[in-house]
Amino acid sequence: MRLKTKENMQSIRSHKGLAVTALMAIIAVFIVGPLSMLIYEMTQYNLARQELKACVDSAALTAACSTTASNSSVPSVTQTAAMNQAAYMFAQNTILNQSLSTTPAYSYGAGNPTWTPVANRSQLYFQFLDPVTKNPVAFGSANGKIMRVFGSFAFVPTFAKFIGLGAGPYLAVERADGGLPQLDVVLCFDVSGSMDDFTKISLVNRYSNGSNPVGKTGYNILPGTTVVGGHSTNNGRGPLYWATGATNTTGSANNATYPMDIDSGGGNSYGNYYMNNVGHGTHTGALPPQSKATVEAFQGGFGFTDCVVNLDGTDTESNGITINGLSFPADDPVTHKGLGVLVEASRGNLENSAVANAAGVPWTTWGITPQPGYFQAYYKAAMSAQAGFPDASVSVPLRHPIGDAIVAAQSFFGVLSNDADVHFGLVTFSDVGGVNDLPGDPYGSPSYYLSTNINAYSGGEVSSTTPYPTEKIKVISPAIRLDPTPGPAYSKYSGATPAPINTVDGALFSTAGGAQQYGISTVVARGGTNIQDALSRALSMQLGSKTTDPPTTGAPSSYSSLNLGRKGATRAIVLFTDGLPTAGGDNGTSDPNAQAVARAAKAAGIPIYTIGLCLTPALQPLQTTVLTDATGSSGIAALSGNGATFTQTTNPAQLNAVFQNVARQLVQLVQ
Amino acid sequence: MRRNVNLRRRNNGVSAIETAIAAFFLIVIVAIAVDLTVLTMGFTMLDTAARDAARGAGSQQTYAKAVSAAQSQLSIHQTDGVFIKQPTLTSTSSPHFVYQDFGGAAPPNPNQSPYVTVTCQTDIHLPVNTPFFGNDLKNLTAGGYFTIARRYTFPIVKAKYYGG
Repeated sequence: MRLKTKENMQSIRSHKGLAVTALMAIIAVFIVGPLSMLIYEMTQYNLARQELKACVDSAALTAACSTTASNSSVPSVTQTAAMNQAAYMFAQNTILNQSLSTTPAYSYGAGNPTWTPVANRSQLYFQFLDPVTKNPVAFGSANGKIMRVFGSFAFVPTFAKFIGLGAGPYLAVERADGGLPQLDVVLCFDVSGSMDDFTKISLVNRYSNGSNPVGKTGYNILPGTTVVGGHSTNNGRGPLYWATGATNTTGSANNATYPMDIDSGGGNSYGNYYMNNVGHGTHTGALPPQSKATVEAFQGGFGFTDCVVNLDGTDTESNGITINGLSFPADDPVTHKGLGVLVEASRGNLENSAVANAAGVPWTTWGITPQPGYFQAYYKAAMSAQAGFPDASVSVPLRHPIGDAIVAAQSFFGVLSNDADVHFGLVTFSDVGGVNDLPGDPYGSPSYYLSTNINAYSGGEVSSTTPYPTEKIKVISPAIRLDPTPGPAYSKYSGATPAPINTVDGALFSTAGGAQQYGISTVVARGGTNIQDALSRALSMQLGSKTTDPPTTGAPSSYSSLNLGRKGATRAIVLFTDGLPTAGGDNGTSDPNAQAVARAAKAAGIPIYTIGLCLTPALQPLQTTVLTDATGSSGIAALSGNGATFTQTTNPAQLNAVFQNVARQLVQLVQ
Repeated sequence: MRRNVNLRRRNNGVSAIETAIAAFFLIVIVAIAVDLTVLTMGFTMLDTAARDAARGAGSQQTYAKAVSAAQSQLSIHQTDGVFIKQPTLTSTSSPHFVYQDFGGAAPPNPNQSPYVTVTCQTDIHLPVNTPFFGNDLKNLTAGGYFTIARRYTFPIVKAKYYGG
């Protein structure tokens, strides 16, 4: 019995122990173990997501950086580069020790991403969002200012087969946005007369060799007057002005349209030389070509009848050039056929043989054929600054400073528009700062117009009631106001950079300004340099968007705050000038009024970036004094502070790079 | 009576041994779970710290400032100091720390952009020194610290002008 009891007790004990051991083992193996594995997998998955998020952040940030560093003004080019660089950066990282270098080519679009998971591999998908609607837009859209990067990682659990999770992979998806900075920038652009000082021109005396109106026309080239520009006594200077209408198409020796206004010395002097009004005349009242003796006697031998731009870019029109298929031959020192063609083309006397014959043009001797288009070709080329314009056959840049500056400013606007969420303002300035952008704009004072009747010009606004042409064009000191409405549609980019005026036929002028926009493309050089007024107007556009802004811009052009900026935007003013102040109470390096505006800008937290073009070596240190950013100086950039910089160049060809460099500084993501 | 007492003692001993044997499985598993928890916390903390360090370094305009910024970011991520040590830069030299701005010039590969690579590490003291996960065993130090590292590559977030 005792033995039985003992055996029974041992048996019971043994069974209990086995049961407990088995239960513990079961709990350990089938509950705690799998649960631990599951927790492990979940933490691994979460870690993978966390690491994926960081990698996608890196890619999105790279895309934003790439965009802000882009030199292209084509959105699709910039966006492609941004995606390439973002994908490259993404591939440099790892997720759960899995290299992302095997990430396949990314995809992009306005729709939702679709994934094809491959174990332990990632994929990328890009969208471009409108900053206002936050909705995706099509690739290549200029409104795509926010880059959204989607990244996926196909996570494969380590213990999947032990805990019944299946083989996977399990997709982790994260996204990040790379936004571009908001920037409100106003460009103050100098269009003073000196901007055209260095245009290569020739002064010509056109005279009659025979009885008027029929007779051979001769050309005297005034000694030493084929000029590169500058302010020396014997070299001429003066802005190129654009004639605004073709001459009489029936042909007449009286055809005479001033190709340009010579504004130095009261309207008709040109250094020591003087425009010969008698020999030139207007369309309706022009005198026929005078005799050689008459024109030579004018102004004591220092008169001239025509001022033409050397289209081939040489000092003496020695190379000649073909534009739009029309020959502008090299000059000949005896017949002066090269300059003769320029003169007659600018007068409209080469539009057909009848006109040319009536004007006494020796075109057969020159070996050219009068035909429609000479007039346009001359003026297009005279205003251009680019090789390839107006015709691909133009292989040399026909540079003059304002042309380079216009191109550079257009590039500045283009790059900024592409690299950031920018709203633009523009204040061109000469005697005063620009005030108008569109006709009827309540912002400013009456428009300036330039018509063909330059004779009527007397230092003020050209009358819009001159008899011919009745059309008019506003070309002087336009302004474009900032728009506080959010979104790329209100950037004013198209307003600031309208298509350049590339025609001089009646079509352009028939609109009489009604439907045209006037931005940087349309300016011509004229007048003085009123820096303080331009800065005041630019500042007035900006002030008001911050509660700490002063109500006015400061003396003497104390314009009121216009509150045209966006609340969250970074603000900046860019000042471009080729010289020194000559108006607005400032003169040369004495510029207290411009300095006052710079101080007001500093108080508002607005930097004034300054760009100086200085082609005259003697003026470089003076210009530096006015514009410098040197700490402790009274330069405009230094006084405005807030990170403003000063850049000076002595070569118009470098302006594009300079403007783009400033654009880079403006769109820095980190100061 | 004495035999019953001996029998009860033997039974109790057996029970204790059985319980201990059974509990061993649980203890090991719980130990692994605890270690995994600490490791996961360490990995998560280090990943965040490394990301912040790389991001901070990428915001600077020089190598020296980048190193300083990365170290500053790491110091923000406080740890208990016992089980998870304060994260540090593995090294301030290549390949652990790379500040590549191409000298302001255009990168040779058009798909590249200026970047900074930052490697951070931390030591994790496992509460239970349980070896697991194969190759990771070699990282166990004599002091019982398990060293983990994390590397991130981020863009240098300053606008670069590449000319043209």
